[in-house]
Amino acid sequence: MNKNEDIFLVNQVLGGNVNAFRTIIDLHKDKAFNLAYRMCGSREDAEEIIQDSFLKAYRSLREFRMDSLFATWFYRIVYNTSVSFIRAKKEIIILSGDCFPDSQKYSDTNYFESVSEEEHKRKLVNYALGKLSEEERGLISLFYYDEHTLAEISEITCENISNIKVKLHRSRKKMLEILTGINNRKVIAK
Amino acid sequence: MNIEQNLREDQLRDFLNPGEIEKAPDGFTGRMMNRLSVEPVPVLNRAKGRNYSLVPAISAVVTLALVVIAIIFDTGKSQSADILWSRVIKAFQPGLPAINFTLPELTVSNIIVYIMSLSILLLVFDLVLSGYFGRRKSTH
Repeated sequence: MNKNEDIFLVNQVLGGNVNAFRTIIDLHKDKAFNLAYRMCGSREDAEEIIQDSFLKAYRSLREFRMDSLFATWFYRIVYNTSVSFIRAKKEIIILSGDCFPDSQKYSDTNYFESVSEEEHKRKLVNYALGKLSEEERGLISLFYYDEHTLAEISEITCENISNIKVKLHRSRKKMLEILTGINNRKVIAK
Repeated sequence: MNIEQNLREDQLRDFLNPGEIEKAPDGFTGRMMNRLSVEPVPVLNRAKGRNYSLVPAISAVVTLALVVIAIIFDTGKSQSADILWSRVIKAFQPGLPAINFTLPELTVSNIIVYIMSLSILLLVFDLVLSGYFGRRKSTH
């Protein structure tokens, strides 16, 4: 979606055509859900986060400056809403088989018997993501899954590019250590 | 951009599936639109119709009203209020240079001259800023 399309749709909504917001939702819901899911680890929570985010965007649509992309502005809302949501829960994210895996006892034999390699990889990644902070998960998601540039990530997270580089480097290193460590040995739950 | 390329072409990509998107649940758009149907529509027309800002207008009216009241009290028409107002003015007078300003059949005290000048300046500044930011908001 380019800037002209953004401006057209936003102006339609601001002119009273509420149905134009349906198009905005359709265009952005999947990426928004992906970001929220990668950050919070739960599909139910991710849906709640993006509902709140769309609501906030709808209510503050008049404040959207037409000189930036709607996606950047909206993903900033999603990112901040995700961080607030996770912090508000004030608990360690409950890991389940659907998202960040629980502290289960993995043995190489059992693990590969029960799941495919693809599933194994997915669970590994989710487990490693669960070990990161919510901001680190956000950076990993924005950079690797959504493939945003550092400049775009800087706009979304409202941090300068130097900070983003440092944090991304740390997050990547941390995640890699977890992933390669697990891959090379048995993982035993506490 | 080299640093970005290095960041991307790293071992982590072996584990992650870049571009893999977890999709929103089915029916999300419909549920969201239902939720928005009870919200007030964020229409811009109301703001476009206004060519003035209430804040500077109200502040100007209140300031002018206070100044007029001060002038009336200062001419001695109300003795008790005049005494009170004189006390207020005297509290602010130390440090201010004396300014003698006389209108026909009306004597304006020092502090009122300052108040009037400041109010006019603030009003002009306020209107200019409101006009500038109002124009910025309405440009598409």
